[in-house]
Amino acid sequence: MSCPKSGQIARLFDRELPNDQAAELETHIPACPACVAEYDALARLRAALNQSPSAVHNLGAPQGFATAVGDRIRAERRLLGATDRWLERRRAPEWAALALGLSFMWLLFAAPLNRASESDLKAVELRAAGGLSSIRAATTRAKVKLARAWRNGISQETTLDKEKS
Amino acid sequence: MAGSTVINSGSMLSRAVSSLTEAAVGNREGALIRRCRRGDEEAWAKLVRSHQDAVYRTAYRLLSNPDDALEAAQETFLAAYRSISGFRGDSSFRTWLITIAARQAACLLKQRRDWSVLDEEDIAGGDLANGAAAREARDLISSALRKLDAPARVILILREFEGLSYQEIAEALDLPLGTVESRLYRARARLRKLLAPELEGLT
Repeated sequence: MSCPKSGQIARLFDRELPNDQAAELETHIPACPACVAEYDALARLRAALNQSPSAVHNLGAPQGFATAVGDRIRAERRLLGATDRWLERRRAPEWAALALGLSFMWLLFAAPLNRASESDLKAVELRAAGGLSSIRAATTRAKVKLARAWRNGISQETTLDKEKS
Repeated sequence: MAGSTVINSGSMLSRAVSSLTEAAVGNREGALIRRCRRGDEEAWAKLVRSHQDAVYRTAYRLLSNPDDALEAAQETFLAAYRSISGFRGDSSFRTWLITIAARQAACLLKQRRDWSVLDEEDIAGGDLANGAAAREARDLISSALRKLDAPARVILILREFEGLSYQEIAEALDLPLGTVESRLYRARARLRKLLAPELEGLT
């Protein structure tokens, strides 16, 4: 026993249907045993849930709740007020020192990170352009360059050692 | 079917009465909200006192723990105070607060690993029916609710006990509307299966 409209019953029960659709479904329900069963099952479930401990209505906030909320709001306002006043009191040299400090921190931490992310982007670009082979080729080129630089470094060091001796 | 027809006509009447009441309360509340936006602390205290029980109850239903519920309820009012200028009045002020409370509770629930539901002893002195049969029924329902996963239970509680619409639940929990509807459907289907003998006895 099923009805294509029974999927709409929960929406009707929860008053989620627009008025015209709700009216149409309400006209349909009396003639449809499947929809009647669905609606009644939802109503029975709601009745059962209303017996559960979660349904209590006389459960209230503890005494002094509003005062505690008021105190927290006033404390927050005081903190914000103090921050505002602190910001207002700062003079130009202090702002300049702060800006300098922040720039230094950026150079120290953020700039190397930016460089690292650029190389990551390059790797992604390479993968998009030519797949893994391009990355392998780029890696090989980088290895060759590194090996040359290393060899040159060693040969320079050897020359310097020879000159010293 | 006669039952559902009675439910429908009854719900239309109650909707009309509640919309008139809401209009009167809404006017009074609207004035308080306007005063709050101008920084009137007394108006804010009045709003907190009017809604503190509903907000705390929502948090308690969702978190099943008085300390967490208190924290979530206080955070709800702090968040509401900070963003009161953003309250557009699309829903009632109570619904707006309940939505924020649900969001706060959902954040706390994510941090917790143990899920529970409210038990008889959690709400000693609550307005529950007396008698062994009623107690037994309550135990069955609590145990069935415990078997639902937390996200589904949160949605079910917000719909069944707080009366939030699908859209309000979706906004509170930052979920797509379809997800809310499907999770609610699954939660109800599971409960109907778990409570089948119990539901047969209800008229």
